[in-house]
Amino acid sequence: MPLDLAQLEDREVVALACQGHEQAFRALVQRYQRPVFSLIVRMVRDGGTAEDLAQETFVKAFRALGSFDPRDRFSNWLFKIANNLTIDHLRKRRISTLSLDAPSGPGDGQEGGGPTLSQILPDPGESPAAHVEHLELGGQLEIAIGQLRPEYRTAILLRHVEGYAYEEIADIMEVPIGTVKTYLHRGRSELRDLLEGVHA
Amino acid sequence: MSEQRNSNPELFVGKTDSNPTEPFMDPLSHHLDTHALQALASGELPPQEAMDAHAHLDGCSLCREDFTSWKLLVKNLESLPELGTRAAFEDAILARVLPSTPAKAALRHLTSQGIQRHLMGELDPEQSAGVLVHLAQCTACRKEASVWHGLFAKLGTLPSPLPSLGFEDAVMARVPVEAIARVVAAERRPWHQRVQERVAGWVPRTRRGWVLWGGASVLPATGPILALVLFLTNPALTLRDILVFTQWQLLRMGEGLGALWLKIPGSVAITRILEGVPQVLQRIPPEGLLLAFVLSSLVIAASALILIRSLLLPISHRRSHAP
Repeated sequence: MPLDLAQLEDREVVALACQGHEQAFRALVQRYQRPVFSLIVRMVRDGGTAEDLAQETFVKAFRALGSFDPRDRFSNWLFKIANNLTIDHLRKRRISTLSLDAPSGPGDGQEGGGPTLSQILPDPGESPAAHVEHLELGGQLEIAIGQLRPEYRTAILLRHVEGYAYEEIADIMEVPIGTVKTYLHRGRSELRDLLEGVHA
Repeated sequence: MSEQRNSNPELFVGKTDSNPTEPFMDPLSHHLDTHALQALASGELPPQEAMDAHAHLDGCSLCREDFTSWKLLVKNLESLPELGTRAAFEDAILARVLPSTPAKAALRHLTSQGIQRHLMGELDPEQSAGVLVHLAQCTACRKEASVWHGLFAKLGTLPSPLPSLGFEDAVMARVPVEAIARVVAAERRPWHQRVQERVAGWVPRTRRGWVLWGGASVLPATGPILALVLFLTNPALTLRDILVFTQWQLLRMGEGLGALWLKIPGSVAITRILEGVPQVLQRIPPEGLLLAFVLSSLVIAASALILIRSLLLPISHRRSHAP
């Protein structure tokens, strides 16, 4: 009788993966591909690069499963790897963070691959006018988020989009809780200023 | 002459065509006084007085002209646009008017961080209730909270995009599932099993292996063994001599060091024991000593090899860390 992996907790799925069940690895990818990719794509502002980094995150995590302590949260551990990889990438490359719709850089090895902001925002339930307004607002917000410092961006995305607690964000970003609070406060204030500048 | 008027309505004189008994009439000029004209123009005169005033206006061109100018002024004033005050202005007035201290305290504005924490549900119920009370009173903070609420709502509706369809397969193509399982299984065995396996890994499985292992182990011990044999076979030099010489050197290196050594509890006893060791060793035949040194050298060499091999191998981490 096949296991229903969807019903299992992360800890149990990780244990199965450690025993060599391929489906458990796949289940972990299915569970976390969206949040991991979502975080990375907003950090690097390029779909193709984000997909490469998200792949690297999963591969690195799986290869190091032996060093994962089952008492920890798998998602935190995964986000920690994703964050480290992304920060390393951003340090290595001074990429433009102004537009998510910008084409891939010449060194990315991609030709505009991956989703753009316009592609990831459609909401078929909205009226055409509301949809256009949503795109406008979302676009401005996305651009404003892209203008934040990477640390502020990570903290805001983890808190407001992924819903993580301060302690978890501190664990993922490997900084004290007080620093996370500062990042969030400053990041929000900058976001507000940027959006007010857009609306003014 | 009687209808000549000064530009200041209160100064004109000489009118005679009014009823002097009317209370709103100027007693000197018998015309409608300024207050009455203003009140009539702005519709504030009581109905009866208004009727009388209108009756007067019908027969008095001076008052009619005056009334027309007041009416125009009132109309212009009423058509002025209303200018709003800043919310903080209203709060500042309330803070000065409200008598009780708690009310004034409540009107100290909330910090931006406090509002954000309230909106994120990070305050305890008591603090949150305090914020709600304040927000009910303070328009400035309400406005601030509304801005933050809008931003949080927008952040909350940000979509989470998915990677492309082949993402999962692309990841799995790079994941050696069985190899990972083997490594994890090896790393998660109890420590004594891992030590056993590590030791077992060092035991040679072939004769050639044994020869190499033995040779490699004995080789480092050859030098000390030869030195020992030479030392034991030379009657001019004994272990006691070396001990005394070392002690003398130490004492020579510094008075303090020697004094310190003697101050250490048990140092005298240790010295006596060390002085007795050569006598014991001299009773043991040279063959026995040689064998003992060969064995100890083997142990030292094996330990050194194990240490080197262990240092070159990756260390297993038990704590989760980002690779």
